[in-house]
Amino acid sequence: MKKRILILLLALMTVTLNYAQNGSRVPVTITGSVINKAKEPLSGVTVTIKDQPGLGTASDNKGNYTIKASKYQWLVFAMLGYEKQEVLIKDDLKIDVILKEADHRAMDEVIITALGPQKKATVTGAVTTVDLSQLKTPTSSITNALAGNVAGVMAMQSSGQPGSNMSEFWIRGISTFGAGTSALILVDGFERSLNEISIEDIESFSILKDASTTAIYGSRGANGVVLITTKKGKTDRVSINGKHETSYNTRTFTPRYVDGHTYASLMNESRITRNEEPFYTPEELFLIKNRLDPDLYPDINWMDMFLKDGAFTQRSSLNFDGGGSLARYFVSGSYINEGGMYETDENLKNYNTNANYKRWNYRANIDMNLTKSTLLRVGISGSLGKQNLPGGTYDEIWASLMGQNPISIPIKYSDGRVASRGGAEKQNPWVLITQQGYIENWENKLQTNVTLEQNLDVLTKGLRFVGRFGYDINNNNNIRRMKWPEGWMAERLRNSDGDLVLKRTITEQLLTQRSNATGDRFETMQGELHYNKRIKDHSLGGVIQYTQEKRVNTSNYGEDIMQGIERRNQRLAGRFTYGYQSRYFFDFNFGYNGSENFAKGHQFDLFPAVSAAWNIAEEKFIKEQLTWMNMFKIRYSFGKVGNDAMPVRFPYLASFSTDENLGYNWGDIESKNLYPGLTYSRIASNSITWEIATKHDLGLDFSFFNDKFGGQLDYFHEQRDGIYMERKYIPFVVGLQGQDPRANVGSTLSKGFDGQMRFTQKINQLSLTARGTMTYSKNKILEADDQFSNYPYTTLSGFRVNQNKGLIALGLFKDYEDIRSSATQSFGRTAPGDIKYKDINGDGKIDDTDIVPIGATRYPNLIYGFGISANYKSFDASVHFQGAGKSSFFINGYTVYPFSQGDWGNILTDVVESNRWILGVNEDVNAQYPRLSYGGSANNYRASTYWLRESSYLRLKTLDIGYAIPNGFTKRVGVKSARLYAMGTNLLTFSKFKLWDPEMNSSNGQAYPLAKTITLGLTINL
Amino acid sequence: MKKCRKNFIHLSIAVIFGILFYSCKEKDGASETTADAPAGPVLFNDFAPKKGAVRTRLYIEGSNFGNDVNKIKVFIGEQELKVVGSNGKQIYCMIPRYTSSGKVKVVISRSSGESVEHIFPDEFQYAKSTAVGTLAGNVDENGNSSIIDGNFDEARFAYPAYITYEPESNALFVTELDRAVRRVDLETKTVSTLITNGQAGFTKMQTTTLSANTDTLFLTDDNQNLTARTKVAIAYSLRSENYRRVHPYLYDPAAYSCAPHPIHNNMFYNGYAGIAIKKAVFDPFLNELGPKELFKIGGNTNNSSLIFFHPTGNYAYIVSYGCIYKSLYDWTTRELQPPIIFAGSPTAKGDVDAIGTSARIERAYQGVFVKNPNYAGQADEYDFYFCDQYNQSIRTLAPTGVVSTFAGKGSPTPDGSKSGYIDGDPRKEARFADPTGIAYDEQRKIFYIAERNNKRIRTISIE
Repeated sequence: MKKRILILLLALMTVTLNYAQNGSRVPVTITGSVINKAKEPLSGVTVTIKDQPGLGTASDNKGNYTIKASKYQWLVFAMLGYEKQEVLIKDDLKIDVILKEADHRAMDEVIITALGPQKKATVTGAVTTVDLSQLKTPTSSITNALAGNVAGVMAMQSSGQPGSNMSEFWIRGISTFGAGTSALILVDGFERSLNEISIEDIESFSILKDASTTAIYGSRGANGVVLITTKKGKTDRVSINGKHETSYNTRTFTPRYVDGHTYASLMNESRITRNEEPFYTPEELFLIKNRLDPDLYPDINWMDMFLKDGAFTQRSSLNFDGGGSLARYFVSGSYINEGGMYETDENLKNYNTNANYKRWNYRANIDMNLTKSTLLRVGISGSLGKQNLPGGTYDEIWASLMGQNPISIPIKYSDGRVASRGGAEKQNPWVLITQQGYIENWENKLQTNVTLEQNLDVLTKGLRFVGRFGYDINNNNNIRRMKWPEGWMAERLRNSDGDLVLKRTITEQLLTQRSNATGDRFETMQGELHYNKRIKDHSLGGVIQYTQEKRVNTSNYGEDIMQGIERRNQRLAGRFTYGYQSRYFFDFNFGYNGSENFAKGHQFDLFPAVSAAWNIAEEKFIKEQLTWMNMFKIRYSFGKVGNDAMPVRFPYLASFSTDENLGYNWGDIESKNLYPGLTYSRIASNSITWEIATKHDLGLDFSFFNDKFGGQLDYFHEQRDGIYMERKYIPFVVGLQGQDPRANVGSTLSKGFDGQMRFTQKINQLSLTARGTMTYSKNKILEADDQFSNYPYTTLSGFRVNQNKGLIALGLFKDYEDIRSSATQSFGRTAPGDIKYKDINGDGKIDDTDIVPIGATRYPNLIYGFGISANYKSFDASVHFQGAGKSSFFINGYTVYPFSQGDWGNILTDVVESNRWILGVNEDVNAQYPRLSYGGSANNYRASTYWLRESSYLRLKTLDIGYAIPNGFTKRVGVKSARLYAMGTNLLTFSKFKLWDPEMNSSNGQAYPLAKTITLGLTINL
Repeated sequence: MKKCRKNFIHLSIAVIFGILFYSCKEKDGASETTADAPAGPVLFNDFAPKKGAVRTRLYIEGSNFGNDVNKIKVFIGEQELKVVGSNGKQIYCMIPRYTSSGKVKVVISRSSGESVEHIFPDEFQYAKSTAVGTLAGNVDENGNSSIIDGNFDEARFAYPAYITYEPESNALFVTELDRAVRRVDLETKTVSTLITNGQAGFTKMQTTTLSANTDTLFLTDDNQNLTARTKVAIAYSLRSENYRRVHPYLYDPAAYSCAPHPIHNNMFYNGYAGIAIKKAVFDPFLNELGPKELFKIGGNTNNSSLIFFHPTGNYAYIVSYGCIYKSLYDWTTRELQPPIIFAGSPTAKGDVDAIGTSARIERAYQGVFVKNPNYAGQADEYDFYFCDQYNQSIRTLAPTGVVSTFAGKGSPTPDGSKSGYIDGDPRKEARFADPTGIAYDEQRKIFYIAERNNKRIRTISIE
């Protein structure tokens, strides 16, 4: 007891002592000037007092500053592009400082890897560090800035709908046809989504591509890893950064459709050309053309009517950071409001039916030095995303906008009744967009993490412990409030009094509601021991990491016990590094993973990887002879990683059900006395496990001419084995009752390269940087669940994952003689002007055995980007082009095949403007559209090279111009620096395919178009 | 230098605001009629065509008409036409029924309140044409209807399926299948209900047939009996009693139709199981009419059939679904002979105009014999007009066996449907919805057609 009192007293004394010390400090006013080496005065240099909170001050445009401080405090002079300098205040009250320009050297660049930051020069694996200044997107998701900017990433955006407009992306392409192809995304070491992250919060962004960097993630790393760390507070004066952007979004491509008269004429052509009677008499065509009957022949351009010219997006963010050596903080908040493109009803006051997305983000990262050797980091972040949508679903709206022809129905009949062809996608687009209620999806994410770093130099020098705990919750809620008015459709002609005869096509729906919610919880616990040691020229490092994770989602699983069980992972990982004289490096990484999803004996696996690097530039003879060579490092890595994405929970457990057909019939006089038998409803296998990737990576990092020219190139070779798939061709004699068992049987091989290059040049005050990146990947299925075939081209193996397959078209039939002399096409009757196919197997018959792999895949296999940025005085500008290639897709559906579904399906202007086969007028066998047919032609409308389109494109992805408002001006309003900028996104797109945006890879164009955006923004730094 | 920078900032701000307030293009929804008043003086050039029948589209050419059809009135003589649309340079209107020839007058009211009137010097010549029209019947907004009596504007039908024309009083008897028999008085243009289910022991009324001398109306009833002869199968009422009283004619299981021989007046009727065709014969023991089964048609199917005697009494057509049988009348035994398949097929249904058994019918219902002047002097001078319910058309069967389509299935629509409610040219425009009843006024040359789905009585006549 006495002891405790003593301690308390001691503690009190220390506090008072401290206080007394502070009080004894002499307040002084320090003045001085800040100049650079060239003796030019520096304006805007922040001058702060070390470890004292507050804003500090900044030098004026003559480089002078004044600050109040106390003696024996440290003054800190900091400015971007210069090395920080600290000066102790002694007796001299005038302190002049010469700041040294920061030395930027490729050698010293730091790369964030799985187990912490590492100097670029010592890295042996393939890592892309993303230049954050190049990630520019006016949308709510940074995934849209990845394509063409980040070496090793293939990305594709398939919708422009606010809140759903993120890009899908794959690291080094898709290399499996198993369940999961997406990368593992880690934010501050925890598995989190990339879409909600505000770009201003990101400190570092790296992509881990090869086995050596991902092996420690073991069974989860095969699809690559994205590592993001968020910003932390710095020991500096408080800095406040604000940003506001206003974007005006239009569309890159809007599919264009013909007017009513052209539509009716084409419809008649489609009838006449197949010897059927036309639908519209010349008199009716006259009425359509002159728009004399807006009820029966309305002539509506649906796309134009219901899509606005453009919509606005507002985005703001504000963050603060600061702190002293005891604690530092970074606090940020951001807001985005993406406006929808639909032309909605302005009169609706109580709710909105447009497709809007609003998101609020916040983040607080606080670092506390608990003791001299203990650092505690606490991070809290969260987001609330609200997506508002019209009451008609996305598919219904787009199917309706492109399905309704210009003359079938008006929006409303002149007596005020709502026109409709029925429900769902047959509904009037006006009803779907404005009259059918609305859908609200909201997503709430809350992420908490605590990290404890303990320096254990006490035990042995270079030893450090890091412990992490993270706890994330996600909630998704969906509510749909739906109603619609009764719909009517007019008879084909008016009655004898000239009045419309209306038939009701859909009865009124009063307000109904549907709702759904799901949520999950994710917990991670991690402990790491780091050890670093340098013995003369030898540097040694080792990290051992233990992780356990569990994820559970208990919503909507009802009585399903298997789904209610937490999904758990366990992992022991480690890394050992050895370096010699910053020339030779050798790494060994491993992950020893466990998952409870598999049977005992298959739950754990070891994923090792080795890698080595040789920095030739550090060799003596190079250093002496080739002084321009700053870095020339060759790397090679080899190892194993896994992919445990699995569509089935507990694949080793079978499930059973009863079946009357397999029962026992103890027939009695009055009753059948039937006892149903038990049967498998899912066949299990004990030996199911994860798929394994064996990866090789040969890389080169280089930097020449004083780091003016640098880059990174990687060649990769990756084989996936044990891809989990259904076995569909097990003979019936095995007795599996038509149940397809699953097994790890698939195998693929993918090869490719990725790289990036950078060139900087300074001409007087103009500095230029040119950049380029490229990622190419080609894969091949080695083994898949194929049945025996006489034709090797019908198997999956030997071709790409997701390979397009179809018939080979030889153009159109010239005449009946041509049809007679060609192979018989077994898809219905053919006439001149119909598509002629190639008889691949030579059996004189065109059928499904003539389907061969054609083109590439729907997803891009090549992504590249290049651009240039320039800085001149206060101005900066940059241009960035992005392209994709080696991909193709089939176009189909009622918008592409004219009249394939009768009068459902609008006709693209391309049908009229392009070279179309017309009986007696244009019988070109190479025409772009075959002979029209009403109600579809089974022969023409098949997947074939005729309808295969290249989706390669090149686009001016971003163009931006910025102007840094001069300090003299900003200072007067109390602002440290401000930049005004304008940015254009997707301004130009070059592609052979022009019907809709080729990046969307949509087969029928029925998707919310991608945005072409002009953004104006202002950043303010206090 | 400083000033220059300031200007630049001002300029940038101006640009920002310029883009922020970039105004969207105005779009006018087709739902709202743009009531823009004609700007200049209204000019009238001409109208076309100069001649036409009912439903002819009439165009008036000129300029500055305005778009608001409510402000435009067009007359032919005194008859006002329906103005459907106007695009400023053309006015589109339709010639209604019962129009007579006359001068075309256009009246356009201007926003100022005054109106412009123009009478074209040329006269519009109204031409007569055969057209499908609507006699009576109506439905509410939801397409529903019920048995409502009254004049032709008010009256409604619930399920008109069968129709008989009575020439003496110029009236129609319309059987609302399973419900009632209605009387349509063509003189007073009123509809009344003659008898409904439940009255006089009727269970499900099927058809009405007039005797050859047109003074007796026979009514058949599906009395739901399969074997027992306890209920009335055929009843009759007399013109002399203004059809108000119903007398039992024959007790038997359910009957669907009956046909008295036009000369001998023997009654033939059909029953259910196996579609037995029966003859009513007098039973002296019971002192009443009793059944005599003659033959069965269509094997053992339980489809119903309908019997129609040729006006000469030489033969009868027995209509059952996709098939029309021909049964000759034996003048000595005074009985119908077992029939032959004359047109269509009892198994294969469809919609093909062809001869005899190669023709395809979907669901033949009521038919009527109509004298064809082209056949004058031939053995058989009559065509048989019948309703093909599911093919939504009125078809004819010539004495030679040729089946052809007479009316319906007009106005082809892109959706491929055949049914609908459209008047006009019988083949090119008109559409029916489940027509099953047909009758013919020989004197005025008007067909009356009962449609189950449109719930209307339609006409085919020269207007």
